[in-house]
Amino acid sequence: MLLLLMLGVLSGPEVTKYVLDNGLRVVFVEDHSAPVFAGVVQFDVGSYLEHPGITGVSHLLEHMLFKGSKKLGTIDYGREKKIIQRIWDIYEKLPYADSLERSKLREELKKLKEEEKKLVVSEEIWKIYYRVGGASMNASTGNTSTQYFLLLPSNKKEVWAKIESDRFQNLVLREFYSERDVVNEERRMGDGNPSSVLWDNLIATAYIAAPVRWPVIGWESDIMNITPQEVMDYYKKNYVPERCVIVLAGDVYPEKDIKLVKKYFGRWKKRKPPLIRITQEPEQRGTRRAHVEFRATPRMGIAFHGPYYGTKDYFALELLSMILTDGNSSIMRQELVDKGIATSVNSYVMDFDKKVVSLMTIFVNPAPGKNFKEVEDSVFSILESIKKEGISQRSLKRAKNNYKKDILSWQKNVLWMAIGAASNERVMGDPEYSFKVLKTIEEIKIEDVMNVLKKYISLDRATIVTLGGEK
Amino acid sequence: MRKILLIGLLCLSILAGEMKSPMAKEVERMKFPPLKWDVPEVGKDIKMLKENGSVIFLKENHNLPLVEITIYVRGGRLYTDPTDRAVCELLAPMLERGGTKDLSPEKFSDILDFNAISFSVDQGVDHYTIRLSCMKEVLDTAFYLLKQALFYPSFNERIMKVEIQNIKDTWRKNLETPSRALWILSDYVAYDGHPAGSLPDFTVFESRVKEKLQRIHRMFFVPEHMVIGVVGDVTEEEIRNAFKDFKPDYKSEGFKDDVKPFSEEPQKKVFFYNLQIPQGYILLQERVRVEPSDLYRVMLMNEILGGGGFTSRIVLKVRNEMGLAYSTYTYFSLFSSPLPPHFYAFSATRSDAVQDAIDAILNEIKRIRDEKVPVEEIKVAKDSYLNSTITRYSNDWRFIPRIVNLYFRDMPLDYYSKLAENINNVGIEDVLEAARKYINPDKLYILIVGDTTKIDLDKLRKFGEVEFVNLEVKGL
Repeated sequence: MLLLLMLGVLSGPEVTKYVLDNGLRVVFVEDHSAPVFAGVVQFDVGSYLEHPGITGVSHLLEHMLFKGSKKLGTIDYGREKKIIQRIWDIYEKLPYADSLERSKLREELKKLKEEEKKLVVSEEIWKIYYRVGGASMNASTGNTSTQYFLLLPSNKKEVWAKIESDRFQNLVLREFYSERDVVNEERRMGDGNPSSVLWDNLIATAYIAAPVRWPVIGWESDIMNITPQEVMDYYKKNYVPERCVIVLAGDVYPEKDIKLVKKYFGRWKKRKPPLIRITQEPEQRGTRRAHVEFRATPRMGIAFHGPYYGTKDYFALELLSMILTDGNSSIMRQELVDKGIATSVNSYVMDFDKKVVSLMTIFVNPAPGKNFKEVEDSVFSILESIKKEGISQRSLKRAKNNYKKDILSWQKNVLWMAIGAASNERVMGDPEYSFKVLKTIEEIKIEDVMNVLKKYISLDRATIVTLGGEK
Repeated sequence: MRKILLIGLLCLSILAGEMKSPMAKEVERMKFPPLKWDVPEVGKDIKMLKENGSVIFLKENHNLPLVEITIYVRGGRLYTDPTDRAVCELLAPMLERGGTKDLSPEKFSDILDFNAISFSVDQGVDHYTIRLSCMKEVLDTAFYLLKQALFYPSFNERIMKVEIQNIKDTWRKNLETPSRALWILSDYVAYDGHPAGSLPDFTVFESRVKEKLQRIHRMFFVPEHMVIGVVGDVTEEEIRNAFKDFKPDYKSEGFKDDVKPFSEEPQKKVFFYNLQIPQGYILLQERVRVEPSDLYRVMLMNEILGGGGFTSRIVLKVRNEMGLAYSTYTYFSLFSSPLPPHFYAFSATRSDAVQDAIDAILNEIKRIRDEKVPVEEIKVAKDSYLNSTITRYSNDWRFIPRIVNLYFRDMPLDYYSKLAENINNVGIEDVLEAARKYINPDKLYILIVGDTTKIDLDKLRKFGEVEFVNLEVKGL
C-alpha cells in the first residue's frame, strides 16, 4: 500500500494489489466517500492482435460478451445449443446455395430464430445490473485493450463478481448475426462522419506495418464475414486470466473483498497466454501524404511517430503537445487560429501502451480562403521557429500545472480511478503509475522538450492527410 | 429526511411468467447487507446562499483540493429578436476569451492557462452555462477572472473576427455531421419561425457587432439572473466573501421573459434533409404538454418504451432482434421549459432499411398504447430507478449542477430525493394511460437526414408527404 505525496499537493488514493494463483491481477482503490464501487475488467486484448481478414474481431467480441453464458441469457442452454449450431451452419451454407436451396434455408432459419427466441432472455445481463442499481455500464475496445465497467451500490459486489467471472469463462455466442449487423451499423455511423474518416485514413497512412493501422471497429468486409467460430477461437485464445486486470474502486475493503473475488475469479483456469509477436513500425523515410475526397469542410491531420509510452521522451512529447495547442494562450492557437489561418487546432499523443511507437497528431481546420498548403506551411514554420527560438519556462510550467490538475481531476470519479488503475497495472505493472509519472513530469526540463521536438517532429517524418475541400 | 432503501435485505421478487436464466434466479436468491444512503438535501447537506440577487448552492467536499463552479444565466436567443441569434451565439466565446476591462485577451488567457483554470461559456436556448474548475490554491485568481469575464468583458475586435469565423465554421460542420444536422432540423421544424428554432443570420456581423454584443450582454449578465453551484474544497465563509462583490457596476436594462407564442405543430409529414451519408438518421417527434401530475408516469412509460437503455422495447426490437441500429432510443424533453416539450424517437440505420426501422418503432409505440405492460417489465424499470439513485446521485461533482438545473427550471429541490418514491407509486394502468395520453401516432411527424439517392422516398410517402428542407444559414 502506498500513499504518495507528489508536488506538494497530490496524494493518491489507497491502493492494494493481489495476484491470484491463476495469474489474474486484482487491484483495490479505496474511496469511502459514498457507498458505491466501480468494477472494471480490463484485458490486454485489442485490435493489435488482429490481422486482415478478422479486423474488428476484438470489438465484435466485446459486443458478444453482453449476450451471456451457459447460465446467463438463456432458460435452457442444452436445447439452445443445438439451435445455435444449426443457425451457424445455415449462415455458412447460404452464400453457396442455389436460389431454391437458399429459400429453403431462409425458411428454416426463420423457424430456428423463432425457436431460439423462446429460450433466449435478451440483454439479461443489463436487466440484472439495472435492477440492482447499476449505472455507467458499458465496455470499450481500443487498439491495445478491452474493458468492461460499471458502477454499483457497494453491497452488490457479489452480483458483480458472479456475473463478470461467469461471462469471461463461459461465453455463448447467441444472437451472433443480428449483433454483427449492429456493429456494422456502428461502423456506418463513423463512415458518415468526416472526422472519423480522417482519423481512419491518417492512422492507415502513418503506420504501414504495425497492427494498429486498421480501424478498431474493423473493415466492413471483415465484420460481415467473420464466423462465430473465429470469434470463439479468438476469445478462448486471448481472454485468459494472465492477460486480465480487475479493479474495484470506491467503497471497497481489500482484506474482506479479496475473499469474494477469489471465490468467483479463482475458478478461472490458468492458461498459458499465447505468444504474441507485434510487428514493429519501420523507420519512416520521408513525408507521407494522402487526400480523402469527402463532401465536407476541409480538415487536415498531421502525424509523427513518437517514443514508446513510459519513457521520459514520451512524457516530454506530451508536454510539448500541451505547449503547442492546449488553451488559448498556446503557441499554435495564437499563431494559427488568432491570425486567421485555421479555425481550430488540437494535438495529442496516442500511446498504444508500450506495444507500438506512439503517434503525435495535430488536427487543423483551415480557415475559409486558406488552402491546405498554406496551413501546412504555417504549421511547420511555427515548429521550425520553436526549434530555433526555444520555449519559455512559463509555457513549460503551464503545461506541468495542467498535467497535475488533470491527474487530480481524475480522482473525482471512482470509475475513472478504476479505469486508470487498470490501465496502469496492465501496461506498467503498477496501478499507481499515473501518480509516479508526476515526478517524471516535474523533472522534465526545457532541453528535454526541445530534444523530442527536434528528434521526432519534422516534415520528413510527417504523415499528412487532408479531407474535403480542395486537394 | 427521505431514506432511499437500497434493497437492503430485500430479495428481488420472483415473478411468475418471466423468462429467467439460472444465473438470474441465483441473483434473485441473494441477500444483500443493508445499505442506507440519503440523497443530499438542500438546506442540510447542501447550503443555499443568496448574494447580490444570485442564488448559490454550496456543497463542501474536502477530499480533493479542487473547486468547481457552475452558473446558469437566464438569457439567450429565446428572449431576443430572431436576428440576434447569431449575436447571442457569439457572446459565449467572447466572454470566454474576448478580453476584459483590466486584461487583454492574451493576458486573460495566459493567467487562466498558466494556473490550470478551466473556464467555458456555453450558449443554450434560454440560458448560458458557465463552468469553472480550478485547484484550491488558485481560487482567488479564478474568482477574479470569473468576475472580469462575466461582468467586464471588453469584446476585443480582433478576437471577435476570429470567433465569428469559428462560429461559422462550426455551423458548416454541424450541417455536414448527421447527428447534429438532425437536431438542427428538429428545432427548425418544431419551432417554425420562432427564435427557438430559427437559424442564425450571420449577415448581422456585417456592422456594429460590438455594440450588439454589449447590449445583449448587459441585458442578461447580472447576478439576479444567475443560479450558481459550487462544489469542492471551500467553506461557506470563503464563498460568501468571494461572491460578496460578485456584481457589475451596471444594472440590467431588463428583458421580457414572456416567450413569444409558438406556432401550430407541423403537419404529419416527412421532413428530409439531404446529406450524402451511408445511413438514414431518423427522428419521430411530436409536441407534448405533460401535466405535472403525470410526470412520473411518463418517465416510467418512456423507460419501458425506449428510454431505459438495452432492456427497453425499441432497443430490444430495432437493435437486438432486427440488427438495424447501433443507437436507438426514445426521449421526452420534460425539463426544457419554457420550450414546449417534445417526445422523440431516434434511430440511425442503413439507407435501405429506413422504412423498416420506422415501422418497427411505430409498432412498439402502438403496442405500449394498446397493451398493458406486464408486471415483470414494470418491475425491472422501477427497480432500475429505485436502486440506481445511489450510483447516479452520490457524486457531489455531478450532483450540484443537477441542483442548479432544478432551481433554474422551477422544479422542486427535493425532486431527486423523492424520485424513487414517486416512480414506485406508478402503476400498470398509469403507464398505459400515459402512453395513450402523450404519444399520439397520428400527430407524430418524421425527420430524416440521409441520402436521397439511397433512401427510397416512395416508401417513405406512406408516412406522409415528403418535404425537403433547406437549412440555409445566411451569411455562412
